[in-house]
Amino acid sequence: MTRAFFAIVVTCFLSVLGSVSLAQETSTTDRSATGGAQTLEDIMARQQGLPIDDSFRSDAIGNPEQAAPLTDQLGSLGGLSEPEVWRAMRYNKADISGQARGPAANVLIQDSGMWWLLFRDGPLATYGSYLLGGTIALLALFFLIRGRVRIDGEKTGRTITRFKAFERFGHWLMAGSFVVLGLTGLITLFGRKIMIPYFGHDSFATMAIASKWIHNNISWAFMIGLVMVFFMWVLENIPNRLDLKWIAVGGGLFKKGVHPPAKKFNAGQKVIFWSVIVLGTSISVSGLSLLFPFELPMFAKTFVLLNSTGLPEMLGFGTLPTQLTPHAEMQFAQLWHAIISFVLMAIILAHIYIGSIGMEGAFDAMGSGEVEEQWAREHHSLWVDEVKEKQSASAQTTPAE
Amino acid sequence: MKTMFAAFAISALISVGAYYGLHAAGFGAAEHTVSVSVRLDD
Repeated sequence: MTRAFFAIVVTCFLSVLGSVSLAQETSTTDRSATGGAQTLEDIMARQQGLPIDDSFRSDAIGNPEQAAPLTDQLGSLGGLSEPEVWRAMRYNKADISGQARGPAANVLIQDSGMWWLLFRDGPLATYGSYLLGGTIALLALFFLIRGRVRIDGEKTGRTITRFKAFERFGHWLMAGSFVVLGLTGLITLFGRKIMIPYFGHDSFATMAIASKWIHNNISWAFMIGLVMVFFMWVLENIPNRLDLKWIAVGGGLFKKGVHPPAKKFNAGQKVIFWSVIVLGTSISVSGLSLLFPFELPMFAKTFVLLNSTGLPEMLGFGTLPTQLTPHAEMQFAQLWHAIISFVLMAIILAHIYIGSIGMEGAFDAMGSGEVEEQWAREHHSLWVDEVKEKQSASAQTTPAE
Repeated sequence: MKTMFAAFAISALISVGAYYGLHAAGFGAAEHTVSVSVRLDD
């Protein structure tokens, strides 16, 4: 899990590095034959989609101090030719002033937007859909092979309070908003490809606007739920030795009649809890960065931190870029937000499965809050003992009426 | 189940509250990205 998570982090962060290091490799291109302009090698490399060192172009933005005066032959207004002005704009080197405010306002042309778009519509959408589709397929296969995990022992007819109303409220506040966020996020990413052919452009435009509104605003419910869930359950989700025993027998999920001991939360639930907390926080932070455009840039700072660990260098990706345009910050935030969301959605699909059709009696824990005592004994035996002890202790201290 | 539906209803309320609250507090993208010479309210 940790390895996979780290691999995604590195893949996302370092895909840009690849282009940086390749650009460095091509910086020694001999351009004497073209007088410093682009060469046939540059053109061929670009046609193959390889990055090139375009400093011959990005640095050719003119110098008014050395230019011929306007009154002279070949003199130009401002001492710059039009190509030089446009190059300066393209490479964010022009002195721009305008009516718009904000850190992004003075960047007129930003090349990495194309890389972002291709990544978003390509690997992100492709592997994201594979991940979700693969998870659903695996769960369906598990259901076909194992069937529903039933309560093995005889039902007692007695119930035990698993979660209080306040706990269930926090859970559903987060869970309900997460499902809506997931669906609206998928509409945003896949809507153009999947929905327009069926619904047409006009109705999709309405759906996309509604989807964006819902996604942006229900995110606050998710974040409130996330904070509630963290404080409600963090102490009971601290890993301990029992978790190793639980993991060793696969939680008993793969074999009938196997019930490893567990307290209030077993190792599987702890994995879900910490996934939700860590990935949910990451999604929330990157989401806030997207909600307040250009106000919360965080990737340049993150890259500085990553560089300081030496990990990118160790993995052969060179140094991560630590100076990003405001747009690049937003592009990284969007990709990161989507990648981590895909991972969390896949995990939550498994959680929804086991909490509903996958296990008899599991939904009651979050439905009514009252679970069958036999179910509790099979899945959380130590927790049942604790509850029974507390009940008997309070019964002893309460005087008979 | 009542708690679940209550939480869903509160999620919807939070969404509407966030939308109007943030706009009232001046967090709209338009307010943040134009200079004073652009009259948004005309």
